[in-house]
Amino acid sequence: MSIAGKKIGRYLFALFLIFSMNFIIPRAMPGDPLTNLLGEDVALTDSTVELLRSEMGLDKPWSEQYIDYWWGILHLDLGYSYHLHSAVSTILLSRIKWTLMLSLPSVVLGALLGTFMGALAGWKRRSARRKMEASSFLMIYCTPPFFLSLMCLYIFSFRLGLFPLKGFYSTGSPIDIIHHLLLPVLVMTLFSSSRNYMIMRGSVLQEKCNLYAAFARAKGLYDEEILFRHIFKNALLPIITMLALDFGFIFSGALFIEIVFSMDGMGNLIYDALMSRDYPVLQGSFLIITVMVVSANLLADILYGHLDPRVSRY
Amino acid sequence: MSSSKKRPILGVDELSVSFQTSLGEVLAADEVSFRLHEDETLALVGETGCGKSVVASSILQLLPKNAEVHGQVVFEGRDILRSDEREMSHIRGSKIAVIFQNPSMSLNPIIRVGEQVAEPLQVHRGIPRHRSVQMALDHLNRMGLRGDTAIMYPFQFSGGMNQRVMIATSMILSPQIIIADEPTKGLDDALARDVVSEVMKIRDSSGAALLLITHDLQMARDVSDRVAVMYCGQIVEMGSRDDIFENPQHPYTAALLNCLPEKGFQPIPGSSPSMIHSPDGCKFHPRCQKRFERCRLRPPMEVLAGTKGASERQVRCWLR
Repeated sequence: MSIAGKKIGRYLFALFLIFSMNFIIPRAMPGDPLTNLLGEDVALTDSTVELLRSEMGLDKPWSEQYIDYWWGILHLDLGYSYHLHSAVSTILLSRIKWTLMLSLPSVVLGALLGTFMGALAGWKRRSARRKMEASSFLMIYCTPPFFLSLMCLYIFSFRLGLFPLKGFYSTGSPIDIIHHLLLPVLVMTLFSSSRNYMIMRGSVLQEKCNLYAAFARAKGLYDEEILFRHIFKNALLPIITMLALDFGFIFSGALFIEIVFSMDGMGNLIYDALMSRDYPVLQGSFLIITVMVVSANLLADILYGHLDPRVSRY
Repeated sequence: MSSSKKRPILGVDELSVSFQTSLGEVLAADEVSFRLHEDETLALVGETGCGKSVVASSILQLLPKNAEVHGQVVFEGRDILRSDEREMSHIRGSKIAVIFQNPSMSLNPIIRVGEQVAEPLQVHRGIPRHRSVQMALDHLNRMGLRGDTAIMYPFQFSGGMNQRVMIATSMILSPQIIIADEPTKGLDDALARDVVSEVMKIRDSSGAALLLITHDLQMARDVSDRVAVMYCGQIVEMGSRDDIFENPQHPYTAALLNCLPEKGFQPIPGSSPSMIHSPDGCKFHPRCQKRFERCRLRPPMEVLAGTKGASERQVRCWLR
């Protein structure tokens, strides 16, 4: 138990470091924060500038700003976006909701499809069907995401008119939302499953040459029993980190897909914030992604210990 | 052990195994024939690379797919070389079990030992998991692995303990035949002796027939009833243990016995031939001190006059 405690402590320390860096980096950058926030073309009177500076706490020394920064984080106050005229936490919450609808089904489906089909493909490498399947997944894996998205959009939405062209919704009813999400989720699922498929296939190919697989066969296990009772768990080990990272980046959205399908999720939010130098939004997004990535790593760590007893002893 | 009335339970007839490789065809087993009788231990001995393990693996169709197998393996009145994978899976582990060399690699690193020992019970008998693990624990206790061994993992065990786990796994369904493939290979001397005594315990307690594949002549002498000597894919001599060790008929057997410590470690001149371009005629003749003109022709396996049944003596040499 103390090992788990130590691990959690280490991750909390990592979070603390990243959060602190998130505080230091913008302040260490050249230029005036206000100019960054408002843009260079905005002309303000000196008194307005002073007012804004004190409102944002910029007139205080760094140490006090640092304490204020943590105070804000602990109260889920991530600042105010002068571009979007709204509190950052409010913006993030509304965007995350939509992004989650897009990425969660794709990540889950991609993980399940990719690992199971990949495992079977590695097990029966020589069958003609598996070979066909492997080459199609390889092709998907090698295609740039935006290109595949564009192709799907062009064929299924523009030519065939099966799906809407853009956005998360038009009327807002559940059916309408699902209709909008179907194609992008499909494309993302294809991507995530093709990657998991390739890794899992290679992993099974490697694991099945081990002596324990031969001994399982000698014990009387039949065909896929060997795969699912013995090889699958071992082959899963290299893919755990990837799956965990997928979950870690679940809030960051899928930038290319969101751009192609014109969906206002986290990916687009970060992209726009980057383009317009909306630092509060960027900082807030990064903080949330950091928390997710770190907790996903922690999850992977715990999962590893659970799956592979050799890991948990150290 | 008197073995004259015993029935054969496994018949290997003219078993040939070859592999296609980029360097050419490797003939790993060349017309290997032998009978394994009930309740006996037959040791298949020979130098490393002579094809002993290939014979063991081909009996249960455990060879890689590029192997080309000819001949017959008769078990329960059927040629099991012609059985499909489904039928073989019913035989493996329940009627014929295997003990591999390298026990630590043969066990799944991330599954508890108890589960692995219990697996044959689940697969062949359909015994539910909880009960089968309990039975496995009892079985492990009988094998001298006490306490909470069942919840341990193979990496927490020594090689010797893992060997015992593997033996326990193979024995749990009381198979009729156990094939032990080089159980002492790569083990240090003390551990090898442990394994030998373990193997002897199996033989005495289970009533299973044991096919012992080994390069270790001492072990063969300690454990077996009969011995078959293999050289370059062929059985060159076969007979009762005492006959083989006291009165070897084939020059190779004699040379092999001369390598034993008490005979003064005399090495066999020359080196083992390649299995890709093996010598014509008698495969041992290029290294044989007693060779003559006729050795360029392939000698048949001949039964020595006056021997039959389990004490039958066979030699593949023109001198006989």
